Amino acid sequence: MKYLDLFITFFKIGLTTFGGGYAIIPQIKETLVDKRKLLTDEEMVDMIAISNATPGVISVNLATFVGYRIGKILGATIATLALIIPSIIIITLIAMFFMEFMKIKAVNYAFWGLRIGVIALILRASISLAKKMKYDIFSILVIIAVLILTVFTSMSAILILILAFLVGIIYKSVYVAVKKK
Amino acid sequence: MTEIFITFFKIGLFTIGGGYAMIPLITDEMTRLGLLTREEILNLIAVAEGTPGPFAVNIATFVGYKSFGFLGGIIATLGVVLPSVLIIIIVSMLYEKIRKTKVLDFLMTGLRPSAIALLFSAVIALALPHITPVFDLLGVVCLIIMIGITQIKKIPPIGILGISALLGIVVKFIF
Repeated sequence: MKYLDLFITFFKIGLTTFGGGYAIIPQIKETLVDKRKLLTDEEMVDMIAISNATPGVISVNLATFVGYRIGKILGATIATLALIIPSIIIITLIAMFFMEFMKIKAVNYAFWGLRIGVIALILRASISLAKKMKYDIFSILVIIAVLILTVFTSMSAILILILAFLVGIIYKSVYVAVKKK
Repeated sequence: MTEIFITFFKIGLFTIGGGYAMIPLITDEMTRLGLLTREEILNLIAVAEGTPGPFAVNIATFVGYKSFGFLGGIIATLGVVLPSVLIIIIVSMLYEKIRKTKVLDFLMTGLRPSAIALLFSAVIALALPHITPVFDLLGVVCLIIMIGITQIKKIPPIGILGISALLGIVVKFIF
């Protein structure tokens, strides 16, 4: 029964996937493509490309997409809920006892180190994302503009993104129009 | 409570390219609303990295819980997830008819470079307190060490976190 399959698959994924969006792909392939044959390889590749290109959390994008493909809106809802329920439970439990844990010196010191480790991780992610991009004059200008705005103004990040979105559309429209001539 | 939902809905809507892209937005919104300190945000990211499940969901649940209890956790999570679900359902429905990826590329033109710039500025914002107003030599040295270690690309995030936790314990007990 496909809805049950969806729920179980994504519940397991939500419970066992550490470290970000792409890690869920092998699991989806194994269960839904190979074992249950609810999806083809081609469909999976398409879905990954789209989940990547749309805003939002990649693994949730994938769950929704796969769920929709297999069971329309109900499938999308079931897959997404199944994915997030383990997190909600685990994190709530951790959050409940977090303050108490932090009173332990070793835990406190560990978190001091962890905070530094996190900064290093974010830097690493930034660098690898920066390496993957193709650069043209427009994107370089945008990067500089955004850096200036974040460092020197108190403009909210979301506002900056909205502006960037609009500027991007305007630029691309002009570019395409000019190219046609 | 609606504020939490709306905040995370916005965050979910503007997160492009994966969990880390969420960090500048979280940092910005949470400090702006006074919901979390920079230190708490970093603690949170560490916990979210080390637990299973989507990074964004972990963060949303934790923040939501901290602000409004169990219900807050659920509402924040639904908020962060809803943009994805809505957009993907729409894209799925139209997918058969139009080649969506070209349109998406078009729409993403300004957003992709911005996401990168925001990530770098988040690094600066999060690291800055180690330098001003008080120069934290210990912190800066450890940060440089950790940056060096993260550049050894094979080590996954969990490994890096394990190392940094140990480093923290050792260093803080000695100094």
